[in-house]
Amino acid sequence: MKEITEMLQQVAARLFNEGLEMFIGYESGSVPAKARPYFAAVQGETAALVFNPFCEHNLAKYLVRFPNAKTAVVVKGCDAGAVERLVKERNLDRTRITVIGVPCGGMLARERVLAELPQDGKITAITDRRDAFVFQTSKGEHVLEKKAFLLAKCLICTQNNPTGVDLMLGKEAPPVGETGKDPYARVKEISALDPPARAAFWDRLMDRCLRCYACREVCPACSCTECCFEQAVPGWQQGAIWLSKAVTLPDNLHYHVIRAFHVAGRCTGCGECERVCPVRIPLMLLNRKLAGDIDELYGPTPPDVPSVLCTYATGDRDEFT
Amino acid sequence: MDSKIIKKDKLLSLLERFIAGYHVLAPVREDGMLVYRPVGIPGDVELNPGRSVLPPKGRFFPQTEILYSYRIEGEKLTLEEYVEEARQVILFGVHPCDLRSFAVLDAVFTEEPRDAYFTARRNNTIIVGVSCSSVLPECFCTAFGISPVEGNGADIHLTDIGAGAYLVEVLTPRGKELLQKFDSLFEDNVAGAEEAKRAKEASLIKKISLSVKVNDLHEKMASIFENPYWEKISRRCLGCGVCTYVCPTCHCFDIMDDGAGKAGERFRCWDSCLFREYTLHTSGHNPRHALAQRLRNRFFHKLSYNNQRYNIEGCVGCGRCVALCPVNIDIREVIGAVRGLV
Repeated sequence: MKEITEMLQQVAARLFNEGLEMFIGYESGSVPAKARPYFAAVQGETAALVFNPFCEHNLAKYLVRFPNAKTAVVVKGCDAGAVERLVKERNLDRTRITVIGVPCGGMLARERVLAELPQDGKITAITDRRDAFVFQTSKGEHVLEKKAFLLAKCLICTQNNPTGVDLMLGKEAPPVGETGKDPYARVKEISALDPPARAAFWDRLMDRCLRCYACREVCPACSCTECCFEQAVPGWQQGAIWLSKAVTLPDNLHYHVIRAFHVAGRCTGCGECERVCPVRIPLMLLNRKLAGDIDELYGPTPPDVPSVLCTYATGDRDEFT
Repeated sequence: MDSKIIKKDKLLSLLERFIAGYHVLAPVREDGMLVYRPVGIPGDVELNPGRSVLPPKGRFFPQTEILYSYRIEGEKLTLEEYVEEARQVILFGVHPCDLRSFAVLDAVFTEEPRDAYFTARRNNTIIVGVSCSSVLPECFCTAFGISPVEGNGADIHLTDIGAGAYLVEVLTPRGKELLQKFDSLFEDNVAGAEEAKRAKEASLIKKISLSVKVNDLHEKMASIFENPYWEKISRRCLGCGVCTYVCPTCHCFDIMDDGAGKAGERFRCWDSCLFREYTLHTSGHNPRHALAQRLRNRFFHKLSYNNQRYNIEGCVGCGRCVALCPVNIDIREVIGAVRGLV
């Protein structure tokens, strides 16, 4: 991953010479096998930029925080759609953004990687060898087969080379997802359960939701400046408050179902909601379920339409009249 | 107080008897995570647990707790308060960092006027501590003078000393009273147990990778309140509540009412200083409108205000916020930065 990291640093340096004000990329994290979002605001800060298979974060939403600056952002295949969506919904001015695409060989599941690498070995280099990542550590070389170590979302990925970017770094990456895998397989399994079993499945998971709102805060489709769930109205004054602040199973379910419907047709499938959940609720199942339903009801979304549920045609199905 | 030895199979029998006579909360595995749950089978309990996702503070300070309910029938108003009735709960398997966190919470909730809800739950709970058996990359309890094998704050403390044996330290009269009932399960403290515990401590402390120094932090914090550092670190902060909700010492809550008209209830629930509406005034003014101000507040609370106000550190070095922050905001780095800036 050394070349791509160097390319990123060079591109960032060049863009700052051309008047860039903020470069949004990744730097190494504070613990082994971790990366994190990084913001370079001046030329001198570009040396910390990296790209490696721990750069799992979707950086698109950070663009909204710099409405008046000339910004550049690093995107993987699964992140690019989020930039496009934010532009389509007029949250971003595309003309002041430089979108930098990186070919992605898949992101690794950190826990599994750490379990595999020697505990006191320091990672010195990572190389992408198509079917595996090769780790050089202070305790020797380790080959991690992608099939066994990639994040689940990467194993069904069909878009690991970003589109719609201004600048593409490096060579196109070969596909990482296993061909013939049905992205809806798990959704179908859950949908096939009889209603009490399906309710039990979700109740168990939603019961442990903390309502920390990490899923909402990270979601590039949750772009409202004020969420419908954060209206600070005391209970006894509530005209129409949507959600009690009490963390109970019905309120948790209510929150997640409403959020899923708000992002339906707009979710770009980056999976950030599921990644950030501290209690491991498989939130992408809800998003995928709705994506599948929308596909089935309306067919593929035409490219000039912001999203299926944000537009209408007089000939649309209307079951209510 | 005294100490004894218990063999692992006997420890399971002890748990079985605990379960028969008490409500037992203990760490169990759920979808690969460690969580405290009411247990019914000793075999479900993790005896050398490691770090739970959520700290055990929820036993004393539940995320949502009904304070009282009201009902109006005709001319009559009925209020019902929900202070926990006396019942015996055993909170099993608490590590030293979380044991220290109970002292932090006590300082807040049991100073006068005492919080009746917290105090009732605290008084109803017997705490069984357990020494750490491993160190995770985010652990740094030693920075706050905590030893991974000491049971301060527990009624009874267990240390796995190898060969299927646990050292049992009885630390309070309440712990003594509890164990007296099950005397036959224990063996007398064998020679070498204390040495085994010390050896374990030394090997664990050696594994705590990052050395964090906090001795001069309070004075330093005061001088960097306006430093641009806070804006810089907040750029990647999502403004979610993960760090505060997984923190064993965070104790902010909101009080709200549910219901309307003739019946309803007043409850309190966890709140987070990272949330936008946390400091939002009725007027619409928000004194901490920027994320940088909110994030700064959290670190000042952990590393300065708590100590000033209660004379006890607001952080216990459990590492949960470090491990679970979705964007790797690491309090150890913040401490390092603060010390480096002045």
